[in-house]
Amino acid sequence: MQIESSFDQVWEAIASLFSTEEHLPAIKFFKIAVAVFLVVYLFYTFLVLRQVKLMSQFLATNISPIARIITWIYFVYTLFLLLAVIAM
Amino acid sequence: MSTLKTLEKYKPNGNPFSSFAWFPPRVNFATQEEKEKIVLLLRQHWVTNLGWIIACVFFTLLPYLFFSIKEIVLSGEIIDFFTPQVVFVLLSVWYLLVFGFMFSRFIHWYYNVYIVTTRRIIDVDFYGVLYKKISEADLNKIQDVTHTTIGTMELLFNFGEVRVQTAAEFSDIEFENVPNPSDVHKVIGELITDNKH
Repeated sequence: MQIESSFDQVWEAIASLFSTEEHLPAIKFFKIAVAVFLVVYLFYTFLVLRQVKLMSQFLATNISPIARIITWIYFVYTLFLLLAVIAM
Repeated sequence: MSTLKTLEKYKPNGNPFSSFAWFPPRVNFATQEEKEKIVLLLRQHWVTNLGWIIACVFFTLLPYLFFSIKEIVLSGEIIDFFTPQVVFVLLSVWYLLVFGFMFSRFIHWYYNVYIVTTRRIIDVDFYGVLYKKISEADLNKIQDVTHTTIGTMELLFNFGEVRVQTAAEFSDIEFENVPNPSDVHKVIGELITDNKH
């Protein structure tokens, strides 16, 4: 039930980006632009994640696990930022 | 006396961020053979990172500069656009990009390494996220080793290029901007001689 209501909230937030109600057109356009950018950037961070994994598999050092954790945090942060922009 | 025994007077360098590490402990690579030892692990000299570090400091401070002068340079309607929500999103995305740039430059520097082992030399190149190139040459296939130091920074901080020519089709392996290029040259030369005997 809680998951369904959260999903509904996110869906309403996406729908509100395209509504013709009281939102300023500039801010609406800004939100769409940022959301699209973050979707593309999320794909880029996924590629970085893969690249760091390959690099640390080829060359194993003390720093490799830390680099992979930081890359994961970076990826998750980008995802949360995208969700936050959608839910704004 | 074996070259390896001579070189073992150099203590293993455990600094994980070193650009010039003798016998680095707890470092190994995927194609390393059982009895193969890493003699030198090299990266580009740390001074080559100064450009992007300074750029990152500037990018970090840029929002503060912008918001302190926005009333002067922007008109009223545009200033109204910068609601707290918009500012939060802008700053979050900006620092995400700055961090991403900084992290990718660091990873690029950290994992682009040059390895000299008891059997071969290896050049590992990662460019961006889509390009990876690993070149290697057995010590007994190396024909010529040269090193160059050109430029003020190179002279001040003692780094330069070491070029290794082999008999293979793609004959040159280049170690770019490595510290102490003359020492690298000397070590490779000694290992080649040792390998022949």
